[in-house]
Amino acid sequence: MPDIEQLTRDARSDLEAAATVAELEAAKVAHLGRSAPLVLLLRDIRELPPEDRGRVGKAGNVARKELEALAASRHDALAAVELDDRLRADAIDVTLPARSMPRGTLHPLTQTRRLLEDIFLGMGYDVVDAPEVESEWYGFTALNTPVGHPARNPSDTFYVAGHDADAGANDDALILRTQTSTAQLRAMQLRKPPLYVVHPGRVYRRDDIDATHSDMFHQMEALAIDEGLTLAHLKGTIESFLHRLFGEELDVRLRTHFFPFTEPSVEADVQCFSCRGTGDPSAEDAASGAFDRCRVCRGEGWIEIMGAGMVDPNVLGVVDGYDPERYSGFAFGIGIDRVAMLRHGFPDLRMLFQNDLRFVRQFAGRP
Amino acid sequence: MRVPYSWLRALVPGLPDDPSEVVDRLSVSGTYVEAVHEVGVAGAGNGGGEAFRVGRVLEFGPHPDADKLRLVQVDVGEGQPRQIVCGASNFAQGDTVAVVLPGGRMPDGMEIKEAKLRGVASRGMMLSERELGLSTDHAGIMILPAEWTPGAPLHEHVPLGDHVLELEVTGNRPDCLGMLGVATEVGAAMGLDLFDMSPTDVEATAGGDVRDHVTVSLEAPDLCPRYMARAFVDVRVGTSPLWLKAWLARAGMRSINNVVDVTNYVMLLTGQPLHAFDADQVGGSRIVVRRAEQGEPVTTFDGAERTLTSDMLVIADAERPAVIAGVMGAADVEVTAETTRLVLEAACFDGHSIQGTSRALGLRSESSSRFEKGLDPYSPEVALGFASRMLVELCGAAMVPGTIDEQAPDGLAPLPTFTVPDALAPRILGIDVPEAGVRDTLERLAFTVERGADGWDVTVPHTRMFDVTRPIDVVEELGRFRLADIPSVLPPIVTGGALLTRIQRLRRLLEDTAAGLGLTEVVTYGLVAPGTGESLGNHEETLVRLANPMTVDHAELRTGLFPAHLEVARRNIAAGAPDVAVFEVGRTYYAAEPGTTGDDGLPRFSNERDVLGVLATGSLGSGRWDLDGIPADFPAIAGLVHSLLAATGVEAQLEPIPNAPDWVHPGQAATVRAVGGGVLGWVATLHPRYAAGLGVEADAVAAHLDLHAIDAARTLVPRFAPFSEFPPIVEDIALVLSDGVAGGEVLRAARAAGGALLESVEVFDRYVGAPIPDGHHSLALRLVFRAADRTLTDAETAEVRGEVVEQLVGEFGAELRG
Repeated sequence: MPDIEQLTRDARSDLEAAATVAELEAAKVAHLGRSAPLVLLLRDIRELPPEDRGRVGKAGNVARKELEALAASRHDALAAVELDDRLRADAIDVTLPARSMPRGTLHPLTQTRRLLEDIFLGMGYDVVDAPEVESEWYGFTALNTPVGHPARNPSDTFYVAGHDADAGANDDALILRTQTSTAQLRAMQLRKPPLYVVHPGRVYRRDDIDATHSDMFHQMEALAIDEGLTLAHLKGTIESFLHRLFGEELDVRLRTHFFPFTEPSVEADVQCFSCRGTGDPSAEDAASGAFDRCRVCRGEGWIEIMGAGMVDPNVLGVVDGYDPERYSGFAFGIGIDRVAMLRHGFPDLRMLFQNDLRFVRQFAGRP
Repeated sequence: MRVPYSWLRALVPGLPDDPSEVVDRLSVSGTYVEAVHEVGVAGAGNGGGEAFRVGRVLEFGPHPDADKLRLVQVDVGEGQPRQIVCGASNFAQGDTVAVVLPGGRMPDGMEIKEAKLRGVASRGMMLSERELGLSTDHAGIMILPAEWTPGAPLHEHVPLGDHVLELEVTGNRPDCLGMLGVATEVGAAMGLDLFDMSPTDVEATAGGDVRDHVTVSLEAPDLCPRYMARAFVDVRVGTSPLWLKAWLARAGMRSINNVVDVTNYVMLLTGQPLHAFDADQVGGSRIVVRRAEQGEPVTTFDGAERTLTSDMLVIADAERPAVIAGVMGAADVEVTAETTRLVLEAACFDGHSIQGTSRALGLRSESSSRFEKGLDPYSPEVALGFASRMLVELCGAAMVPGTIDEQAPDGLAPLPTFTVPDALAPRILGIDVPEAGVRDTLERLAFTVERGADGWDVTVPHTRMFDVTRPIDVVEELGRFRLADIPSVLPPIVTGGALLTRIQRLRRLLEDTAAGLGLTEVVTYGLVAPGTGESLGNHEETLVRLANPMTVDHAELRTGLFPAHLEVARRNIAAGAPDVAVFEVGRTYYAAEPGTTGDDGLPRFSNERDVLGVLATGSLGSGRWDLDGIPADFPAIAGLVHSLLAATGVEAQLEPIPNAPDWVHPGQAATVRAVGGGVLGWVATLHPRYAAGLGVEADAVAAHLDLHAIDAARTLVPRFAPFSEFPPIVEDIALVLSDGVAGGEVLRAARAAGGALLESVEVFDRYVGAPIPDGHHSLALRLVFRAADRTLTDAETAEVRGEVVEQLVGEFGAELRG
């Protein structure tokens, strides 16, 4: 009959000597596995004389429990060491470049368009769509722009081939719209007052393409028609809008202007967000010596930003349900491309449409 | 319009020295000041410019060392004469001259210093008109009137230094193309009275009658509602006084001679152009206001021969056109040094006609740029009065009695007269304007105002008669001087809140998803090169082409985004970035049948569709460092399309395009269709020949998805669908299929055969090569079985699997492998 104490000593010694989890597993198999002497002894305990069974069984079980506990604690210790070793070996140079995953950016025009939309959504204006190919009626006549107005001419406006007979004096002639104001009439035709809408979109003009001109650019039109709207509401709305766009504390100034479809007509200036109206160069520009005045407003202190006005009664009178004796309203338009240029400070309008990825990817923020 | 501030101050005497307040107020009241230029001698008349003096030549002699220089002794009021070395020779002893002393700063910024010229000290400089910016005359030094006292500051006699205000005059305000109109604005904006210009006419002192000198026949009264003329004799053509030259120069006009300068001065003053004829050159002493004959030639004052058309108005004599009306005169009737007898024209021409003529001839003048705005028919008599007085006073002319005044048969358009209801101004402006304020503003603007029962009866001044015709226009007059007083109020919007439409939200979702998937957004031109639409297989009649393109490469509206996206790829590849993956949500345009209406019931003049375009070449992700990028090939872009659509909740399938267009790869083109729904767009590798034609040699894959089609296919608010709590059973099968069999069809057939217990089928391998026979491939499918209410048994799974295999074998001739 094996000597339980001897078996236990041998096993303890082997288990303690194991230097790795693998060696420990081997020792476990040898001493606690199916064919280990101690395990066989306990399995075959019925073959012992009855008077020995109790003593041997008890001692065997005590020994096995002790060895199992030892094996478990040795396993924990060895595994911990081995994990530490592996992690140490897995250390990587975290300063190396990361793996390059695909990454995308929204175009600055989209970002600016959404910002403008969101400001007006917040004020309760719906966003509406409108077509870009229009009739002269929508483009000019209905906007109180009579035959003979300089804009209403093939020298300034693109006409559609085959639909350009008597261009400039033909309500049915087709144009690429020159301003998003065309959406005014369509919005009025679709809904009755109160009407509060904005429309961002593309417009086309026969301009040579250069750093500040393009034959295609983007505007957003706003139109509000209700009972009791006045120039004071226009002023409040423009201020609110420009404060959200450029900064809460900036002054806003209205100047009288002329548009055929508004009366009175104004242009809105916002105090320069860069120099805060002083006209002085930024600290950086002044230090560089390259600029003696503010680069953003060219030293003016003001930035000319949008055209606006009270909707002309002649425009209201075009659509049923918009009696100018009962309703009044205001409209304004702002250049999305220009706002993008101002916000991001790039110098050339053409960059927006050249799509050099080094340009677009600079503007990764989401407004 | 260039406004010399010294001239403005002469018309509005109360103005401050510094123009900045005028600049601010004018800009707000509607005449935007684009720039203020400081011209001439800085600060002259404003505490500066004292070094510029009147001088008298006491004596002069030759320079010992230079033939062309003179040594001049000049009295500049210092008791002792100064010695000045001078290169001019157009003066004599006793002449009065202009002198700048050392320390004076010239208009160009140069400071005058004592200097030695060829060894002789010069203690100042004698000045020409050009050096002072008074004219372009540099033939010699200025000779001043003899009665000016030596030593007097020059600015007491000549506007030496000035500010010039550059005004942006809007199309409705031709009155502000004249100094009187600007002065009227300034008076109203500043609350200042204007200088009394009377008398504004002069007595006729010559004998006879104007009709002895010229007769006028008005044959085109539709293009010329009024033609006025006067005659003058004993005219002495010469140079103009310095103040007149200075104001003309600062207003941007050249001094010609005193007669022409008077007509230009009065035009600048009143905004009404005038024309002076040498009466002896007017053939037959007859002026005919008529349409030109088709092809009639005329040689204009600038020396160019021009061919006229029959819709152009000319002022002709008995034989030939003397003036292209309102635009430019002919050389041979202009006033010259020999002229002694004048005919002075002041007329009203139709603005559209002048604009058309000016455009057609490519010829703009100070005159045409005023007439084309549409001038009133009353200004000619005002301008004629001013000019007559000046011709008499400055040119020694005697006016012949009588004024020719030919008018259209229905007479002059009357001045607008109407009542402005009291309620209108507050209703539009949001402020009350007190009675005194209404009266003050309108009277300063030269309106006639009378208080009515519940409104103002106003008569509009003739210079504003086409701009102010309705009560609302008068409200603007009141508002524009009170913009700073108008409070800021937000409208009480009661529409119940705003929300983007389905399409607008879809657009944002697609944009964000595309950017999130690694695509960079681009914005490209809507106009493309001619032939682009046809090269994509569109018929000419479906395209929208321009009648008047500006450049050859922007001649028609696009029908697809990818040609422009190829250009984006070309540009970026050339810039050293071979991996280009871009998208754009943009509009495409097709011609519409007459009478087409949109979903909203309103007319549509073209069919405009918003499309999501994707184009990629190179790798997705750069592939630098330790991992290759994903090649931007057809499967990758097809995967992007699926991901984009999955973000909108739309499940799509790709179908081969039989007879694909020639701009796509014949074996890599697919229609994108919503499962169980309509066509959403396409995805295709572009044909290498097509891409190379647009400068891209690398393989490029493009996709187009129609936003409205996606929107129609999606469920905006998906309903909850319960999912099983029980475990799946996964089984793989491999089939040998003939190469003609489309994998997508196999998947659909498997799904249909599997019924409710087959949760999903995916392809996990496709193998070609031994032991699979030629013309065949092996397709490995992973079948996932699951029931909603129980754990499936092996027997149940085997039965469904058997049905799937049976279907695939039957439908596609598949053989089960292994």
